[in-house]
Amino acid sequence: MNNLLFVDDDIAFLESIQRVFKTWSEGTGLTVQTAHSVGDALMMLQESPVNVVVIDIRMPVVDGMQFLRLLNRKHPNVQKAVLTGYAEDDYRTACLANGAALFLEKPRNTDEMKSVYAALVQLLEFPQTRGFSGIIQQASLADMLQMLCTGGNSLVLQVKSREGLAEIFIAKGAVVHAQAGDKEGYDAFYHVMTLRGGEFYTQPFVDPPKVTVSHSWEYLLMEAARVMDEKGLADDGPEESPSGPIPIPRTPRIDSPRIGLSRDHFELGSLPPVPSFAPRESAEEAPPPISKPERSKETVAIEFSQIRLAQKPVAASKLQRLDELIICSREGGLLKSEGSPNAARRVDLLELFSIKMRQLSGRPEWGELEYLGIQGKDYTAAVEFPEGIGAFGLVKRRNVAPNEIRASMTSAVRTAVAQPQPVPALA
Amino acid sequence: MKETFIELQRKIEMLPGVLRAGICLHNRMVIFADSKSPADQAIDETIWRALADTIQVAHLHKLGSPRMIWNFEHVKVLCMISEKGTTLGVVVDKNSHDELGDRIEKVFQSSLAKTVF
Repeated sequence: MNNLLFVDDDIAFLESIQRVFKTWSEGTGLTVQTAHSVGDALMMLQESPVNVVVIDIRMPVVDGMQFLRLLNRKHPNVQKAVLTGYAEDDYRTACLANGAALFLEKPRNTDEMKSVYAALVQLLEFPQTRGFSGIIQQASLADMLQMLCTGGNSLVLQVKSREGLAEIFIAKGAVVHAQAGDKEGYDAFYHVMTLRGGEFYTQPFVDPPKVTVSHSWEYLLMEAARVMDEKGLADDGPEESPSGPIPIPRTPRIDSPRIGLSRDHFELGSLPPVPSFAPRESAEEAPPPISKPERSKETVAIEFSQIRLAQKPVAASKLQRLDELIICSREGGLLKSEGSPNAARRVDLLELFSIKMRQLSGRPEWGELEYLGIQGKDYTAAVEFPEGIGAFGLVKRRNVAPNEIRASMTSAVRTAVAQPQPVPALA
Repeated sequence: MKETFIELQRKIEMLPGVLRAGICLHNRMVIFADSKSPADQAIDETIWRALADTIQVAHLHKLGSPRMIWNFEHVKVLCMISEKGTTLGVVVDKNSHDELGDRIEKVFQSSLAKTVF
């Protein structure tokens, strides 16, 4: 069933076109509705689905161009065609730029009406699509979500699995709502992110029925990873494809969601550019190579002398024995891990700090970021990124001077960079 | 509710060594005591949300009840979080004493004790 809706202030024209089109479309499943004002048209769009709206460009109160813009916002999935007696080039360009798929002259005789009818039927059968469609194999849902959010997109991410259809609403790069069956909000989001397989699609943004999610995407992905850990799904091997009509090449895993930096899974060249721990300028000048999938064989081509650690000298007696130490290369590969109960999660944390560091940089009145100190009830930690190398050090005591932790990290960073040790693959 | 947070910010901004404060609620709404141009406010909101996101994620990583100190060349930015997820970000003078953090935390916690946030 296809529905056409004509919107025109010329009632005689509406009656005429409805009568003629009804005759021609008999038995085809095409219905023709008419509205003689934008207000009537909007009500009809609310009440029943419409495939194509055909708009007269010159109407009183709200003209066709304004109506086109309004439709783009409120009903982005509805196809739009413009029908006018003023087919100037300026109008044509403006209408097409505002989302009209067709720009047609108002028919003045039966032959012209047939041409318009044929064009509209073609539009119904082969709707205009925007953007690209394709298949990304072996990409995780977390990767896709990250890409969409960092791009500041507004859209609906649809996920089809054997459990049904789920939707994640993304507005200007922020997740605002999720629904999956009878679940909604955070429950729905974590449910979707822990699915074991499926397909995802993006659809144009529509206003969600409500706003149920307010945390940042980084937080949501981290939490999803934690949920995965708790469910014991993270370390599962390759999984079976679900039965049913949807072929699934391989089940995505989100055992450690890639926050801003992906480590070893980019078999395809179509995924987003990979930011590194290095400051933005140097990352742009020399994008990090990502062609070495095995972290344990990673080599780091950075000379010892290149490591600059801007900090006050600390007496040897003040150096702290670190209870936990994580050092990562610019590419996010683990160079050194000591005392960490979950190195993979710490690497994720370093990735997040790296992203946030960039967001917080660039304020001349603040100057360059030197390091991040963290004080907890029973620990003190320091994080820094000398020359793009990520370092996290923790001492299980409160009120330790962060500079003492940083000084202890310095020698470890130098050693790790000069002599990278094989590190077991992360979970 | 907004007035409570604005009052809290004013109290904190009166402490010696404090240059600016901002609060990010658990729903990511950012509140500032002063009014700025929409463009400046948008930039500030991004900064304060970034601070809030980071401390929330650190909390998830078993780095419980953290106080974060972002050490910049010219200033320090202190960040702390309440049990309900309200985040306070305070820009302080680079040379301010470490005790300032304790005083800020005291004001923050005592003000939040009067609210559900």
